[in-house]
Amino acid sequence: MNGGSALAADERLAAYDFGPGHPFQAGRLEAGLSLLRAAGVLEETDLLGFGPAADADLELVHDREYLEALARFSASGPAPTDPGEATRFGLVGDNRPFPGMDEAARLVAGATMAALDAVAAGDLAHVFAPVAGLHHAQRRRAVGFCLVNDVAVAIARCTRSWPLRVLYVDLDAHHGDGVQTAFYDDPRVCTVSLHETGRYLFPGSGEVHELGRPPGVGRSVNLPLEPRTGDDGFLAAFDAVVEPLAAAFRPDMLVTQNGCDGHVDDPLSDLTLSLRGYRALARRLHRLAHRHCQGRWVATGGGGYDLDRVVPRAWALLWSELSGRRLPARVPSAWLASRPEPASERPRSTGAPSASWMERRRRRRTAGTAERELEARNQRTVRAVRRLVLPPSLRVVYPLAGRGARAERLPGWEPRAGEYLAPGGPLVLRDRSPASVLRRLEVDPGIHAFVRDSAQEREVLARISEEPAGEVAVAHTPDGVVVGYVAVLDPEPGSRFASLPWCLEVGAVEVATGWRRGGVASALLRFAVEPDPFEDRILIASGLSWHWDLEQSGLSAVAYRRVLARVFETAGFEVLRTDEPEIAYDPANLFVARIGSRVPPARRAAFTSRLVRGRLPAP
Amino acid sequence: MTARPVTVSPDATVAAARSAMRRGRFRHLPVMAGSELVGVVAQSDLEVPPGAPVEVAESLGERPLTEVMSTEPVTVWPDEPVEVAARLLVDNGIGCLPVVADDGLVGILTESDLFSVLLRLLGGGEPSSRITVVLPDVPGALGRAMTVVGELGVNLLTVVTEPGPEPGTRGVVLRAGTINAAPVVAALVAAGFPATGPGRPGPAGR
Repeated sequence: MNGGSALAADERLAAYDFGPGHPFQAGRLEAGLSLLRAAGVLEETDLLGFGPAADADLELVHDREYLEALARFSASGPAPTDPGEATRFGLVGDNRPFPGMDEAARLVAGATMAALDAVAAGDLAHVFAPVAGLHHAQRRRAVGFCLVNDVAVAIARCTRSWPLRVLYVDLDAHHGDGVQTAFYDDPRVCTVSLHETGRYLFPGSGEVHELGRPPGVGRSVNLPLEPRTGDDGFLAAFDAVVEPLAAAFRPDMLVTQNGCDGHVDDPLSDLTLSLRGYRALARRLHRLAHRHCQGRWVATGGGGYDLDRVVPRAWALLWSELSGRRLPARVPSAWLASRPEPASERPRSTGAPSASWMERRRRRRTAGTAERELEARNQRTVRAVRRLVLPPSLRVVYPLAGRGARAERLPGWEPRAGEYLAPGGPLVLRDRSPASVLRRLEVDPGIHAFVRDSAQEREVLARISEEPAGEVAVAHTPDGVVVGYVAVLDPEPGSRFASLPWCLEVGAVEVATGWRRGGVASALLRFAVEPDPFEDRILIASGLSWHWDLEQSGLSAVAYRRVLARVFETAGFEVLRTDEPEIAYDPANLFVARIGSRVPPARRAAFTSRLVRGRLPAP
Repeated sequence: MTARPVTVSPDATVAAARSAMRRGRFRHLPVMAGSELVGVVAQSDLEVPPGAPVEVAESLGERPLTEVMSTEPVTVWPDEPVEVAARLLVDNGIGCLPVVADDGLVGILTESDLFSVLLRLLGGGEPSSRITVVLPDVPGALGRAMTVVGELGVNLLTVVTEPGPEPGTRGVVLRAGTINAAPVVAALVAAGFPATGPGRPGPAGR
């Protein structure tokens, strides 16, 4: 099956069943698998073998005491002598104990582990584990139908055995809190959760500023979306953040939680996605796996509770995308006929489940005030997240659709060339090279802060130089290998300085690892900001500690900040204090500006007044 | 409260108090003459007043705290109820209360401590759904409504009530320990208690 796809599920998983009337019940698996079989897209050879997870695996994420309670309740129910015990471990209400739940939970975890192991080892490219993605379970507590955190267990096991970086993308309507918490300080696992805001919805967490703890700051990413967000808003948020984040993080494996409970018919959320939206998301994830993870992709089923019209179809669409198996034109009528009568209460869509895979496309209404407000709020969220987690140069390569006002164009100047004698040899400094030239240059493999390979890095430079406000200066060896670059561009829309048309941002100062001594960065930056038009501009730059290459440089964040500040100071920048949230988030972050000599006092004042809106924290 | 807080002596300088605040990342300092509490300084007491002459601004750092501190600060006992402490802060327009026991200063209570209490009372940070209910303001209504929730097997993490939207009503904010909030809302509505929460009516599973 080398390089192929598999499904990590079989009938044994029907044991994960909280019983009739409960949203998470055996019927989900039966409904899903029977549709795959009826549609002719699943064969016995597609099934990946798996066994129950062992204590040693579960204990990577869970406390022994909790696992013991799970085993005990599984055999004999909660102890009548201690009625509070079940509540303490979360084994009440949503997660009421059922006989055999310990074995069932271990099988779910075993399936996910087998999936990640097979993909990490290269035996398979993609695996779909439909009854998996129990993303809420905590270290010592069952939460939201999740008895064990199978995804966290499998990722923890995998990153222990292989030197892999894992990108976890959670599309469930609910925040992926358990997985986020399990890797909150782990720089090798980047978790991204798109979900309905926790303002009202369970579990209540997943705010934009939950970014992780050192050394994993910036590796927990949250996109809380407004109730009633539909396909367009969800996909826009995905596109604005997930793809560029993957480029920045350079993962080796993609693990996704494809909960479909954000569907308009699902009773457990207020999102309004359709199956079309879920198919579009599956396509994007597939593409992302091949672009950034050498194809390695494990998808888990997650939540989803409308068993008549949503869950089986969402699984079939995902499996078809992942395995390349083509679905028949219509949902098999035999399968439709075999399904029990749909429940009578139908508040949203009407009528029986249809034979087409997806809903009819709804006619787009003109957006009313409520929709515009929802869209504006989501946009604000997306912009805040981009500023927090994406390096500026990648924001240019992956621009937001419909960007706001751009900066005034800089008056042009003749391309310049200079020289600099670095300890590693002579370097040529150049600016205003056309994108066509940049695309032909070699890039030193030591430049890799943001993207995996030098071809992509070259593309980053070319794309920035094509921006109206984009200016790229490079340092290259006499035989044309780029060892450093400085990029100047528009501030990200939505940031405080974006509305100042004479304000530009130094989006990147990068020098290849082998060339970092001997003042190359300072020399290149001085060269880059030398042209006369910059004297009419204010140049800003921000350094967020979680974007820094601390591993390679061997420096602490504080020491790195000092080095970076010195580089900017030699080029006429000054360190300023600001309470812009992403800067204020970590005291190691740096904000600098270079105010051109001809910037009039009124503009200076307008700029300065934006630095501090509230009160500065003690330095 | 913060137990055994950092303190300063009255003859310490404004600059010394500023740097103590920066180091400890706090904004209030009890001023102690030996074991006796003689005042409190807040970060705002250490700022240069807007429009002050340059000489004042430049020399402020060298001035002793006795010139800027608030004397005879409002204090509380260690067993003071939190709502009393909150009212003292609001009524006096101040940001901190030294906590004083029989044998002297034992701690300091600040606005940030009250935010932590608020967070705990409102159940932020626990996995839960937020449900709001409107009850008639009569004895037993709250109990009946909560029985409806309890009978669904749903655990309540926090319950906060406040004056309701109409006279004669009380508003209740619940954090319910369930991912499946719609049945809770439906049961409350069916029992005659208007309620709203996340999710929508419809069969979950089947």
